[in-house]
Amino acid sequence: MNEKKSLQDILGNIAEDAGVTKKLSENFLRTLFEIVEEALNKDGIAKIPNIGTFKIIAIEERKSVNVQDGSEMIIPAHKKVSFVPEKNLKEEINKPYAHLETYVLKDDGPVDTDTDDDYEDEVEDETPNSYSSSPISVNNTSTEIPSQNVINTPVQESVVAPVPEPISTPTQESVYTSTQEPINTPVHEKAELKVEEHINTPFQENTNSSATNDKYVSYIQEIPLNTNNSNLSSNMADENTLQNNIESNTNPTNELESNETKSDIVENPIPQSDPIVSNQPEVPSNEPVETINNSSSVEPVVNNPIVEPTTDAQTNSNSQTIGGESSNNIQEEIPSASQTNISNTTEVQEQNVVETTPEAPAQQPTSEEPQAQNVANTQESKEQPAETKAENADSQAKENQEAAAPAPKTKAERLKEEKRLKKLKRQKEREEMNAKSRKWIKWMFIGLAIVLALLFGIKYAMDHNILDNSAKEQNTEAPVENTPTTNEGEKAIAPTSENNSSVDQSGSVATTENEDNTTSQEENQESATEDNSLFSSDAETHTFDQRLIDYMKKQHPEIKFPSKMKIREEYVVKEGSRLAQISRNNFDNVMNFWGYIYFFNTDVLSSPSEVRSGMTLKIPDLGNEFGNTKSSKCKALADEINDLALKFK
Amino acid sequence: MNTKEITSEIRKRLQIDAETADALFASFTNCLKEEMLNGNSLSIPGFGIFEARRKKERISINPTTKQRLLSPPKQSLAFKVSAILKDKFNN
Repeated sequence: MNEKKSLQDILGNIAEDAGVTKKLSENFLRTLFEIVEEALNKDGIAKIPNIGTFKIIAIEERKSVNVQDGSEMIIPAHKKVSFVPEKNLKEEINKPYAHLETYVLKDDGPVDTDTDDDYEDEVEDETPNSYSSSPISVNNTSTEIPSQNVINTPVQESVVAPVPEPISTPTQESVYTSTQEPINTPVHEKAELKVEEHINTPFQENTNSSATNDKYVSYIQEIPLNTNNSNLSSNMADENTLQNNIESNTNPTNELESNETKSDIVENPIPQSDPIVSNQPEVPSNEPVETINNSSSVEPVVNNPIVEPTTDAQTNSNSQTIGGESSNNIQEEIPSASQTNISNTTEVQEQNVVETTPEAPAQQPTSEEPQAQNVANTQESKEQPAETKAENADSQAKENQEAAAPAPKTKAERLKEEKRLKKLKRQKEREEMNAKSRKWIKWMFIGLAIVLALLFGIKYAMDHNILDNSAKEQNTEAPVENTPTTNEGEKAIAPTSENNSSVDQSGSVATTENEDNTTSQEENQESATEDNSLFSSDAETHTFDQRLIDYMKKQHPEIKFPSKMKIREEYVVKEGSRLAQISRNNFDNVMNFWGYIYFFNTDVLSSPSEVRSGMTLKIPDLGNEFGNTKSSKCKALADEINDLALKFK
Repeated sequence: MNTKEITSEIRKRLQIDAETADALFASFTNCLKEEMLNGNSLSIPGFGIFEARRKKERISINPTTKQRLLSPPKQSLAFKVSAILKDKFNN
């Protein structure tokens, strides 16, 4: 064991081995090396049988640099003794590594991808980039309009359904044009702050809006729909990241609770959803009043419609009624929108804005305004009695009619109307597509929810095993307590994507999720019982070989080396893999840590060289103390352990 | 001086027969191997030190094919000449 042995120490062995006296063996060795020395002096080469060849190599003088002071120096010519071991002896000495062969690395990185990476990829898949981008863009954008543009694009990406792009692009372009105008910008600045609130709240809004969208056909919905979708996505991203929700009124937990008590759901979403629809006719109506600066005055008008639909049972009726209104509006809206737009244009012209194009864009930001305002005011609107709602509905209808009435009288440019009619057709088509895509999204979220449920189950199974038996009993209870929260979180995700028509489905989905979770809980309990029965062989932790523990105690008493360590991963050995290769795959391309793996698997491996393909090895979770791949200290210790491992053949 | 010359020289000097000489050589190599495998170094006074040197595995690149090869770790027998012997040769 790294001892320095002199000739005296091995004389006994040699004598015993050769069956001669110790003195003879000593004489033999002394004379042997004397002869070698003489031979080297004489011939410059000496071959000892079965050991190797000594050679004298003449080295010419060469320049070098003194390491200490940097001055040049000349290494004089000298003679060097080289030794080349005999082939047999060389192979014998290399026997611990003899099974190792040169391995062709196929890629730059590790040949085998870690399962950890796969796990991360799965998690990342759940939060697509398109989602995550939207909230950031919303928060960062100084004006709403760019945010809207950003929002529209991710929705199209996330929906994947063939949403006709040309429709969105002209609106966006028009939005761009509107941004240049001074009129819109103050509105946006005010709405900015509300956008953040708007982002967090719209869970219920979106669902209901999507539901209502099936029945309503109003051309302005397109833009808010997109924003709603974007809010959906942003909310999804928020939920997944769990960052922004805490700030606003609607925490996911609150929403969860609201989901649990369906009455809350009924109250919250519907009023919110309808206003979106109701806002749209109002939006133009608001503008003629020139409340752009006086956004506060717009709010009450907006809030009143919010309250209109109160209960789910009423949703259908409301939807029908409003649908009737809207259907009336649809026909009317076309003129009314254009009319209001035109009225807007007149007003805009009054405000010395020459361009006629801003009309359409003007609607869009304003349509967002009331939404944001609605979101802010939804809580207030919830409290309002239902009676006022009906009145509000009437007033709204009146307003719409009033808005419609003056419209034809205003300076109507027919070309614009025709354009808008075309737009309406496109938007209707697009809404249909959105409805389809929304269903698609719904199922996608349901799938994600189930995946999340499974992941949480696995995670609990993992966490569960780490703890001691005493803690396990608590854990068997703990997952039961904890998992329902996850269920709620998943429910919150699932219903957001669901239409009113699919409420029943959502319930069924929730039940299936519950079933899944109950099964996972059962699995946890089963695993717990297994752990109790098989205490020594924990699924989660595993003991190192006693030899390593003893060695570490002896050589490095200062290091608290744990006898047990978490299993980071079970690794199935692939063909041609060796311990070092496995270490390289599991420890950030560093090969040094294979000794740990060996001592972690001595129940399977009798020697480090016995790695065969198909074996399942447990990879220890070395942590930062031992497994820091960038720490030279860790590597040195690992090398030491590797040396130790090599001694166990 | 090749192996034959050395064995004959040693037999001549020690006045032993070929069998014992072979046995001694065999046992010496065997002993040396064992010590090396155990990680020990064997110093021969006035001559040098035999030691087993571990060479870590490394990634080498075949210059022609650009293949990245993971060379396995090695253990090889190394000999370090003693200062006394070195001085003898250099003077």
